Amino acid sequence: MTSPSNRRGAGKQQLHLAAHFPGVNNTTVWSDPESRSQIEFRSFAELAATAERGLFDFFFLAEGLRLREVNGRIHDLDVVGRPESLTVLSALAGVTERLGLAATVNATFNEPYELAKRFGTLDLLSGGRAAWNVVTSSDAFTGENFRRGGYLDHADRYTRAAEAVRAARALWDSPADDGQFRFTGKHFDISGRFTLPELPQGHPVVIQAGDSAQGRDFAAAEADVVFTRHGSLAAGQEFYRDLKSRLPGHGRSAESLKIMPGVSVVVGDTDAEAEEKAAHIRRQQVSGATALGLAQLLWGIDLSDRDPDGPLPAEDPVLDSAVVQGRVRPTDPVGTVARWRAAAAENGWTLRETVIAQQNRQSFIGSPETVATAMDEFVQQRAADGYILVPHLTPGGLDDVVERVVPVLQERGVFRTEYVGSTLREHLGLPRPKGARSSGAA
Amino acid sequence: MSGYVVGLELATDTANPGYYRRVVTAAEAAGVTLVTLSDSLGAPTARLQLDAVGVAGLLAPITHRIGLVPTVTTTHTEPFHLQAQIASIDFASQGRAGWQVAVSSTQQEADQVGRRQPAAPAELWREAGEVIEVSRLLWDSWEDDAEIRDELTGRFIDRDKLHYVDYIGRSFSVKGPSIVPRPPQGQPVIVLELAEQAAAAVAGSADVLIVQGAVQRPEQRPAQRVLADLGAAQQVSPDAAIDLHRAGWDGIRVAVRDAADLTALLDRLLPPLRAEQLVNPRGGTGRTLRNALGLPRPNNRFAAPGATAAGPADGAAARRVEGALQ
Ligand SMILES: Cc1cc2nc3c(=O)[nH]c(=O)nc-3n(C[C@H](O)[C@H](O)[C@H](O)COP(=O)(O)O)c2cc1C
Repeated sequence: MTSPSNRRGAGKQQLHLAAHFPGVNNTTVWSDPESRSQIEFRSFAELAATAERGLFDFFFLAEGLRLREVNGRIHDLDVVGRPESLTVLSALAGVTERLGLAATVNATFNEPYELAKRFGTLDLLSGGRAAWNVVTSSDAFTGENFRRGGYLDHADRYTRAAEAVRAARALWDSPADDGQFRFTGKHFDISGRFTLPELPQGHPVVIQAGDSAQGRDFAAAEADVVFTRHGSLAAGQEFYRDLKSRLPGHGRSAESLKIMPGVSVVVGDTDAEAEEKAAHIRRQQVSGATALGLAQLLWGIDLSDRDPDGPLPAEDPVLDSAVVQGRVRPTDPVGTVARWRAAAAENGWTLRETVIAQQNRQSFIGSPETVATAMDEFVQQRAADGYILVPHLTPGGLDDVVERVVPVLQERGVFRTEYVGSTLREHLGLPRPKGARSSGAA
Repeated sequence: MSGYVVGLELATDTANPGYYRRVVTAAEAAGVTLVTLSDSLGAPTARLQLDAVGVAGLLAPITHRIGLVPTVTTTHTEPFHLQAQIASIDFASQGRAGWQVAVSSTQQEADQVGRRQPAAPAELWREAGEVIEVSRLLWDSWEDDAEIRDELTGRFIDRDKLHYVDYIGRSFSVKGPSIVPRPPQGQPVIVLELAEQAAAAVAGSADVLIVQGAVQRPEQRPAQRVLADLGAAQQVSPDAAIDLHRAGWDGIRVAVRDAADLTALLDRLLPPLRAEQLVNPRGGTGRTLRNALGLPRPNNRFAAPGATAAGPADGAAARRVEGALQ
């Protein structure tokens, strides 16, 4: 039964692919004539259908619980407004067959009982395709939309998140006959009766996104997949080594955690054409107004009166700034500003040109062959186990990848030519959790 | 025109999604107007119970006419999440979402969530009233034409058409605006079962009231519908349903708990109602639940009165619904 392509791929690492629905930031281009609704269900169904046609592992939705603000006013330059993740994925469960369905849901502003029930329900509705991207972002700004209000400091956020995951698992593992559970920890003390039967996956897949040391520890202890921000090959390898080396300490194998950077891809007939397309997309992504907005995020001061086609701001960045809310600031504003200044001086760039050059460089650009080669190389050289692909257009932004790059990966024997399993765990090659109350675990 | 409303209460001890698909698509084909999906944190009777919002989501793209009304408690949940979930069902179903309001008063429910102690029904329904109010504000927190995609100024939205709700209730506060744009119906349909006396405190803010038995019709606002809850479908005679119509009720709701109930609903109860032309299974593809109930699409309470009276806001939303149907 070994197909030629399997033989060609013998001994090679297999890639995993996911489709990220375009987000509410300037990566998503809304001004393009091909850009369609970010909120109509049809857009979600179409991108999911594309991902399933491409035999992707999963479809991914991000989450933000308060609209972003700049200078105390709602940010108006980027796509904004999206449906609640788990509800949309439940709807997609009815119109897809094999595609994994991953929802980002905050662990600070939700309680374990509800999380366990809602993700468990999605797993049942989809026949074992649910995943939970556990995020911890929480601040007083977001808290203003919630009963619990306030915020947790960084260390507490991850202990709460880890406990929320363990509590949810206690519910998923509750005895099949009566569902009785009890979980006691620092953040939660809950008991009662869980109303779902054994889940198809035992436990939905857990994804983690966050880069700090605590974030990495949390991932090593609890996660099945890590969603990272992409770096160079070397940076990717360093992250990969670091995270996988933490696994034995938790009694886990290297294969039990998949590392998937978020990347964007631009495909052209030739490498030169793809580069041209990519440059055009970057200009679309950074209008003059957006350039000012991004500079403001970095500098932490009000730049609304500046000219994006003029020079970089002369001021030093302000470290403790509330000018921009609801968005993560670059980690090292002083160093980044210094780098921007050097690049602008060397090339004679305006502020907007500098922002375009420094921001959002797509990760893989080229002909289908070039892109497939690079994607494959990162995986074979242990910088990633696969990718979460972030398109710039809704909903057609992954058509090129599915139609032109996936066949090349399949030809090389590094990507599936059909779905073999039916659950997301099976697609990802993840073991069934030991604690699960299933007969299948034996 | 709206017909006689036939509601279906789906309360079953199963976690099998295929069951929900089969029952609800059959009910839709037979002319049922809406389905309420039971759910409670405590699930005192059923061993197995799926999350009702998830089930409504599953049903949204595979049905076309029937209203989808999950039950969600206001007691141990976040109002901000709750309204976003219902708005999201409204988008996925192209305007067929409702929400049946419930409260959770038992010790078991409190222990499962672990956030607060049980309270008396009067207090819980007072809070439910606040959650209804803040949900309605959040559904209106985006005006219908807030999305502008204006290339000239680089603006995706007109932020003057997004509104903080700045709601301060007794047990919670919400800043807003919602993360979800205004849903296709403007305001999804709020359904209230007057099962316990304390619930009457919020009757005025519901779009549909469900009264146990058919004893007495409560006070009714103009844009409000009242249904008689008649219990298990097996026990309801078609004549009783027709008599209630003659007596001025807007409709009925019957429960399907097992296969015999489903057979009774499909084969015994609905055929006479169709023969009397009280229900029409062909009517209404592409219409919203509000249309089916004969309820208007509400103006946005934040929009300038002139703007909505002239109709551009409704027009934009109607276009969005039409676009979704293409
Ligand atoms: C690739 C990536 C994607 C993320 N996506 C989301 C998201 O959709 N919603 C959210 O609230 N936070 C998101 N986060 C934020 C993380 O959950 C986390 O709060 C943040 O990275 C700070 O944690 P850290 O200090 O460990 O990095 C994301 C983070 C990363 C790295």
